[in-house]
Amino acid sequence: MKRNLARRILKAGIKAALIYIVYFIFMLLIQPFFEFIGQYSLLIDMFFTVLIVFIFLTELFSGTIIKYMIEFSKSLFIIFYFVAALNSGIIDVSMENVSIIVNLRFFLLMLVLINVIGMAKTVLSAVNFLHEKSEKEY
Amino acid sequence: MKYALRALRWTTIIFWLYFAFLSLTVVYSAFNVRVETGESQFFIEDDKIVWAMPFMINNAGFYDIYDLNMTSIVEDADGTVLIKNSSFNPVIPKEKQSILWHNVSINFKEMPNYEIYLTHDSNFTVKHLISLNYAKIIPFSLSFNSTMLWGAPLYNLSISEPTLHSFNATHSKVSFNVSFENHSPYIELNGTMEVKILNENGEVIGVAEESFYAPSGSSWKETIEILVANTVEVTDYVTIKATFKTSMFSYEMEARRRLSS
Repeated sequence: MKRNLARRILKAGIKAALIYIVYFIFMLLIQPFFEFIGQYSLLIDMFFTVLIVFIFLTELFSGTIIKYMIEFSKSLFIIFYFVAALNSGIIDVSMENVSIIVNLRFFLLMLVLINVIGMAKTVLSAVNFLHEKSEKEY
Repeated sequence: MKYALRALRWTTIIFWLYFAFLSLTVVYSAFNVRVETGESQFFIEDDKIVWAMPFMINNAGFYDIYDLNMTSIVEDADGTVLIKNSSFNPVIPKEKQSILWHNVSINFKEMPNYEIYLTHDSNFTVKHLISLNYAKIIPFSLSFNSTMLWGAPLYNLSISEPTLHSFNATHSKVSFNVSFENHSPYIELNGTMEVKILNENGEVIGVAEESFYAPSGSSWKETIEILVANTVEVTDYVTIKATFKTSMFSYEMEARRRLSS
């Protein structure tokens, strides 16, 4: 039991570390544009921090119903995060007397759609998990 | 249940791959669009000044650019819109170059209260708006302001005090100076000036016509001499009406002056 827990913690740690590497590479890639998107750095940091926590917890609670609850929450978080961070899909940046407006609603819609499908998949997986568990018990 | 789950899993994977592919190619393509501005040209066409700006757009990306619209709005210090011009290109295909000429034409007759700007220097605000739809999925717009110094073509237009001299047995001569400075860097003034002198009863007592030519940045001064018949009533005060006519505008100035002899 203890060995199983240690293995899960190790696996969760590796997955979290992988996400951290992705975050690190992402920050390196956006370095040339940091002047323009610097104001969003806190939002980006927050997103990756929460994502790492979710991935760690999902792996830690794998094999339990809590895993599906965390996965569902993660999808919900991603939807709300992107709706809020992308200002409902309209990015308005002003520098001195220059104003730029980019409409990213198509991308936001895609992200929401993917996560809604992900939520549906999580719910079905949870039902399937409970079904298999009850089958094993009887 | 397992089939449904598998289908959902694959759907999610396909959507994520499509999303990643689209995001990467759109960002890559957008950074491959090059815009260069050519040398602006000023010219006078019929009754308007045209400021033509060429934009060379090289769409080296993977997606077409749709509905490219460039609008320039010239406003005075109070925010009144004086001029609005737009240029439109419905589509710039991928891997193609396109030249878009954006013309800003100043037609005095279409400007509200244009008479003010013929005699007063001013600062205009020029608002540039550029909008396009990239790959039909990303509407984009950019706007910026710049200031345009406006030099009045008839700056400091003035009519001096007229003097009356006897010319011969039947006529007298009224003479006065008309002057102005052409502060406009764009307009070369070339036209005619019609002058009328009216007495205090509103009767026309003398008429003259002069042609004038004032290149950009020059001063123009002319002594006008008008013969007045001795049979008409010449009052102490007269009204001088000067009408400047060019291909671009017509401007009338009226001045009430004491006639000295």
